[in-house]
Amino acid sequence: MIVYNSLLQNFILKLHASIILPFAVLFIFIPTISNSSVLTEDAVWSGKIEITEDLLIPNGITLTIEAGSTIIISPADSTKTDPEYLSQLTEITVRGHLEVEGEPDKPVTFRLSSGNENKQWAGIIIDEGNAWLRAVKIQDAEVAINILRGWTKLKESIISGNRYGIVAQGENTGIKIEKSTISKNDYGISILNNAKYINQQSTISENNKKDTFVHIASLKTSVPTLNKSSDKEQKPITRVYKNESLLGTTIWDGRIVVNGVVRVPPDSRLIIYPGTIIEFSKRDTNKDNIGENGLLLQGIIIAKGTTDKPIYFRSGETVRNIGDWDSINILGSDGTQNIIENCFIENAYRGMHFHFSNVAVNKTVLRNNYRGIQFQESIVNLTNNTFIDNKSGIQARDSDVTFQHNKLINNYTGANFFRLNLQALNNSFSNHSGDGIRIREGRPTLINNSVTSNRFGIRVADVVYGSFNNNIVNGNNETGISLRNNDNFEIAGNVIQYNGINGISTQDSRGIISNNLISDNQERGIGIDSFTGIIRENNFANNGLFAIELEGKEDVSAPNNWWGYRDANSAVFDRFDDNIRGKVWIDPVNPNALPFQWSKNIIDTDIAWHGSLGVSGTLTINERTTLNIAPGTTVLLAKKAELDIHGSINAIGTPTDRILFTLSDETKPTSPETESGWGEVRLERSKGSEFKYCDFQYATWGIHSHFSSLNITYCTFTNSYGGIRFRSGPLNVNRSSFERNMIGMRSFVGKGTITENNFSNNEIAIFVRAGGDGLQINRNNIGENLRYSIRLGDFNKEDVDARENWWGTDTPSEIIFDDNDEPEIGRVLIDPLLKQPLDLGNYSIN
Amino acid sequence: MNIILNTIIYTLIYLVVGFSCISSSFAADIGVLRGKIIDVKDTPVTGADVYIYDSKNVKRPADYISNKTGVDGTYSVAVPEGRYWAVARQRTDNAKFGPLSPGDKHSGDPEIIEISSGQDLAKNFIVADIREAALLSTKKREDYTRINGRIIDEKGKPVALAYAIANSRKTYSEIPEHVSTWTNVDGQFSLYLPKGDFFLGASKHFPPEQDCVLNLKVTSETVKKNIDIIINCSLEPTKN
Repeated sequence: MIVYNSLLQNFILKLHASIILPFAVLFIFIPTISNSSVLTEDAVWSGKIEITEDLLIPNGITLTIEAGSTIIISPADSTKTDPEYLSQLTEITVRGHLEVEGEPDKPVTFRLSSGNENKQWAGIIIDEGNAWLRAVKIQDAEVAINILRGWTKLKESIISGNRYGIVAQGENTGIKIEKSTISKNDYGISILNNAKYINQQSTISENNKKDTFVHIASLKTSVPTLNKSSDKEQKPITRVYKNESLLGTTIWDGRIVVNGVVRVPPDSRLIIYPGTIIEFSKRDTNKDNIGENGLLLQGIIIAKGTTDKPIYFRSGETVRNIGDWDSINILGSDGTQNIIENCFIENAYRGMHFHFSNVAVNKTVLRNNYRGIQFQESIVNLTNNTFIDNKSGIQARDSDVTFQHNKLINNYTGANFFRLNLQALNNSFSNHSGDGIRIREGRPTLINNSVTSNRFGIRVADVVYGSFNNNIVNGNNETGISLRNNDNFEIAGNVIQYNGINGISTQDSRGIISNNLISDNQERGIGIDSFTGIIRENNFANNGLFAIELEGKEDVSAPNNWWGYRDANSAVFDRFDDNIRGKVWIDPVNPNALPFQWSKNIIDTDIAWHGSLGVSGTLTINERTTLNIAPGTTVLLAKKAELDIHGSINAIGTPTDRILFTLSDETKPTSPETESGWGEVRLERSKGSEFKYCDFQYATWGIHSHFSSLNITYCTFTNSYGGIRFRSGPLNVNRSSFERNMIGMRSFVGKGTITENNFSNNEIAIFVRAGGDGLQINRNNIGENLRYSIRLGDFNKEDVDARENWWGTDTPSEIIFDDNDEPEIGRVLIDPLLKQPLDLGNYSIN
Repeated sequence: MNIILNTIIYTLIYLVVGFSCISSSFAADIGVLRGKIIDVKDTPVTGADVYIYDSKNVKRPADYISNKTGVDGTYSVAVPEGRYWAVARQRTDNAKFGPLSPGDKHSGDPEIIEISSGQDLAKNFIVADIREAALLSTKKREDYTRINGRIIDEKGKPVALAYAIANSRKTYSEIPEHVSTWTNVDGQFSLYLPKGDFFLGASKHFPPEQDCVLNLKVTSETVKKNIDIIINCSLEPTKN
């Protein structure tokens, strides 16, 4: 209950001041305690206010804080976070409006209560609200002002003594800072993912780690296409329930309306048929804007939808909002497995909430809930689900969890796991404003997951068993993997790239970090405060500042790593650079990149390849995703292995550091006829790809392109069945070489220019199957092939422009197959001929 | 000469007596920690050690290390009285410190040991790798059995988008007592069944057709864990 100091003051002032003034002074300076979680109406605070738990200013509500007030926050005494809140620390969350009316000589202060010097509170979180803050001082917070969505104006204020001063994220976010000081925090101001930022006469300086950090998670994570037509799914109402218990077996079909809490007691079952819609009306008796209707199951629920006929659990309101209804609650149902499949669960407080239960959730979409799923003390199987646009995706503790093939995307926080037996395989965590995945204690195994474009990728603390293998941790705004106080863990075979600060940060941890590809992180590959394990046999390349920076005093063992394109000593920052730090022991140094076997078969986030990469099977690069291959990289493809590019590929070598695509087998095919090499690099509707200074050898087809724009320069194609085959285009091939292939190039309705290339010792240099009028084959050396220099196919009816080439003979008609040989297949136009071969430079042909 | 000799003799006597006193007082401050190191199946572990630390930072070389266990898994270590943090580890290499390698085992969070002078304190440790540690704290209901298997067609090919059925009778009224989730391309399913006899079958439709015959009779406690169910209902596709 909030005491309205302002009202009390007015009342007091109406009485005779000379009589009651001493008493009034006493009342004004007794601190008022706010135990309220949610403001239910507009409020005005003044004086000293103590906040002992999370505070929420909901949509439509304004909290005004008068000049001279002091807000004293008690630190959280547990890590429990209710779904409507966003931090494990005590927070002030603004979904309405916060107006702080400080004055320069009477500022408003937000600080922790005394005696909590080593603790923090969360800060002021702007979540779809706004805040006008004048003359405030904020200290002791994790993030003094954390703007997830909404607008903030800050004027004449001091933000100091926090971990982060200000963080603003996303395009729907903005902050204007006027005549303020942000200093003596760890991080001053972080502007992430195109948040808007205006600085007028403000000072941002003397912050311990960074003053200003701007980062865009430039990786494009594909958002799943979901059925958005739940509003269109309308049926006649089958049954309406108020508060009711369902005994025995109850079957729901059609459209069910729930206007209360429907209970399924022990030994009873609720069966929900495919296509059923269950709608919950909003009942909010305590005016906290969170609905109370829902399901409470102590028996069994079987909700078995299908793709064609999913089941909907949603708000029954005309305008559906988050938190309109409570949850599917399951309590103590730990025998027979409860099943939720092919469902949409939306607009709830918690989509699902269970304790002491056995539950499988499969192929279900949880969206626009405060929390997607929350559970504890349970056996849980979560597979093929999508958690999207929730405040938090999953929160779980003390359970056995199999977590596979799920997508968590666009939630504020992804997954929060505490003390779990966790098997997490092939999941995707992306686009979260907080953590992609947070793990504390427990026994986690993470294999083949993708953690991309979050503010923090993976945060792991207090784990004494842990295994993190073959994951992709890319493009997170700050750190890819944060480790604190862990022991006996293994981080192996991961790709950790493009993170905004560090690929890995470690503090008080021990384990093995081995065989990872750690590259292209904006600052450090690994930032070490303290680490007593081994960092070995990793490939470090192209990290912005250092491969490893050691801040602490204890030495670190880092033998047998490849340090990329720079001298190993310069890739490390340690005692040699600052003698109060420990030493990173790097010997022996691997002079060459260590082979890295690529394990995932789909790439849906931008990736960089360095060193030596092994590929088997088909590796697909999704749309809007770019594979960047660095100079000097070798791509070792197994027999029949292929790259299937739907996004784009940039393989740009240099004259001295070419990129090689070759067969991984020791034994190379002796003849290109046999098609026994690796498969192909296939581009399907790819835009803007480029190959430069690349060598393709022992392939079936080096490059196979459909409807793609593609530039190929200074490349070689050798010892393959075919060099390039393509359909449509535009394709530009320039200054490249085709030798000892069955077919150098093959075009089917292709559009392209083929200029200044060498074709020699191929069975057929260029084969035009059809639509040859889209080609310009000019100024090439195209003689000295075994059968034909150009052959037109049966389906080709058009003439082909092949002027100004050197054919190696004065009678090129003998090495051309066109309508001179077979009627109606078009003519190869060759005049004028070049009399001499072109000098096209020296290619490295392997 | 006699004075010198006497001096030497008395010095030697003093030293011997003095060391005896020191040893006695030292022995009086020592306690012994002993016990067994076993694995998750209660089997004694050979070649394991107990590491003792005088602070809760156990990510460093230990202050005291026990003997390596033999086939009986027993260990002992003498330590001065005090408060310690202890972990047991079984390493495949012979290192005494450094991170464990995959496949090594340990006892998890450090145990706090308070040992006083002259005390002989018994303490056993269970060492496990990550998988075994998960088994130690698995949530399961003892009266239920999990059965895994595949749903296959008559040609032995796995059937996707089907589900397993278990019922205590061969026929069921509308909805069987137990159903699994939809199968993946491998046709795999899991069922959690209470103790007793059940008839198993499979279907591709929900609710299942009434003519789905539950052909396979099993006893849940004794059934082998991986079984094949041949689906005999309509295989008409249903999209999932």
